[in-house]
Amino acid sequence: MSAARAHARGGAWRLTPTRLLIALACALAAGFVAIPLIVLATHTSPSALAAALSDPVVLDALRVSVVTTAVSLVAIVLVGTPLAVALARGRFPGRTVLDALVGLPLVLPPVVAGLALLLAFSRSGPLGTALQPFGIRVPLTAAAVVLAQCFVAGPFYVYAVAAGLSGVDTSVEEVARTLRASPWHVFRTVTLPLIRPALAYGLVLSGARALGEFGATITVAGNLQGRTQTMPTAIYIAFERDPDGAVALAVILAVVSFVLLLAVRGLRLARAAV
Amino acid sequence: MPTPRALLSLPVAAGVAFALALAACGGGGTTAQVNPTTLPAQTVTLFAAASMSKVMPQLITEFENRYQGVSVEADYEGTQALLTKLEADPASADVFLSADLKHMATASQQGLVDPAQNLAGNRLVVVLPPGNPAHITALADLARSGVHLDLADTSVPAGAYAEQALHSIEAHGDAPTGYTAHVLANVASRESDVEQVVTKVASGVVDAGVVYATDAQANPHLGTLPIPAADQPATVYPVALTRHGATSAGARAFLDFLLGTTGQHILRSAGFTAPPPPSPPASAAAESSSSTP
Repeated sequence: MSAARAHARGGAWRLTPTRLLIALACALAAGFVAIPLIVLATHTSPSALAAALSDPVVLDALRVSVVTTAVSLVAIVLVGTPLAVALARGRFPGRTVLDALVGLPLVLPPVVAGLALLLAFSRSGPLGTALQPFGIRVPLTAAAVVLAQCFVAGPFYVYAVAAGLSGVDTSVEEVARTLRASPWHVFRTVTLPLIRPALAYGLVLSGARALGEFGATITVAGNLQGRTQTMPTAIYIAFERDPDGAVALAVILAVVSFVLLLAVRGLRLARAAV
Repeated sequence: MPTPRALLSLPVAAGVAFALALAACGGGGTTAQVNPTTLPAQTVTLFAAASMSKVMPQLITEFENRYQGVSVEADYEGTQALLTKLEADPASADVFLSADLKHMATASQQGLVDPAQNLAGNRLVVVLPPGNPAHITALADLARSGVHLDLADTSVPAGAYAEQALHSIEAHGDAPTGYTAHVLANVASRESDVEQVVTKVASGVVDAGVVYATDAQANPHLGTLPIPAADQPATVYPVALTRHGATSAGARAFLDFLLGTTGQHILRSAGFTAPPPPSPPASAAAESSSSTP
């Protein structure tokens, strides 16, 4: 309290009712997220974490999660980047509808996404029927895990990149174009470096979301150790029979996600400082 | 001298009681003959194995008609999930109905429950989606490559029973050597309770699943393939009052109702089998053997 008063006397900083409200809101939000996670962390121990990390079930789940997330990210970048360009730069009929459609998975409950995917790719569904002649069966496979992750995590990347593209000063690109650079060359040498922070942000956000995907995954991909059981599904199954093991797994996943987000913030700060 | 408020509420209370009595009489045909017992208003929380979720609402309705004032709230999940909840909060349930003896024994060892009684038994059966797209006509077909099978997780009683049955089928010569390994290699997913196996099979995502006969009976659109009696595992549903429920008159009444004639009749109609005779407690057996020279 003396510090606040000293500030007030100095005149530089005063504790106004507005500032108090803002500070309270910040503290509430930080506590709301941090306290349950800290409690989660206190429910495990280094030995439990070590045990979890040598459990074949956990190692399988980690491997499935990492591999499927990597594949999903490749697919998301390949499809999502042109899509983001179209959304940010394109002037075509139905752009608004496309924009809303792309964001739909963000507001849908993941289990609904999983159910929709399951029905579409089931034996009697249109996509399942189309794939049947090729002997491809999607539900309950690792491909279904990737589909669920792309469906749910893709919009994070597309929206981040589209927002980055909207922020680019197009006159820079105009200059490059007047120098007779091809559109692809302009995109690669001018636009891409400018939106690199947005790309990184989108990648990490959608990667973290894919890593944590549960509702859609368990619905369309099921749960089989070593094939479709990801970290979140393993946590769910383990919680019912071995809560301590589930907590250790959950802590690992939470730490990985937090480090990913911190890394991106750090990346942005470093860039801003340059 | 009664206060004005009490005077006012007397006829209201009488009216409510009359209405309740009318409602009880107007219920199902079987309830009309029974005079309801009135207990103090209370809620009994039941933790019941997921495979009981189809028959239990009927049992609860019948019980609530007989015992005015008691309402039963049921939570249906895989037994392993219910036990975990009970361990985390022993007061979260009054009655625990497990789908196997193992989980009940664990609850008992931890002092979470009173001595259990066997409520019912069940049988396993192979269920097939409508139309049987994989053309499964014999147990041997489950081992065929390309067949997609769904089982409950091995931590779930139904999943453990299913593996026991597969091993028995192979051991008794009802299938060739290596049968169990081939069938297990065809497992495409593991569910956290048996009802989810039923859902996956019904949706046609998998070609077959191993569930309880009562699940097949409750879902008549599913095809079935019987498992020989000799290969059936000993499926038992023990039920017990929890430490918390032991002090509740409503919970005790509900347990007695389940074990009584009407409860057993409803369970039998739903396809549950008679419970195996209770095995004598180890301590009692030891006492009787030591007393006889």
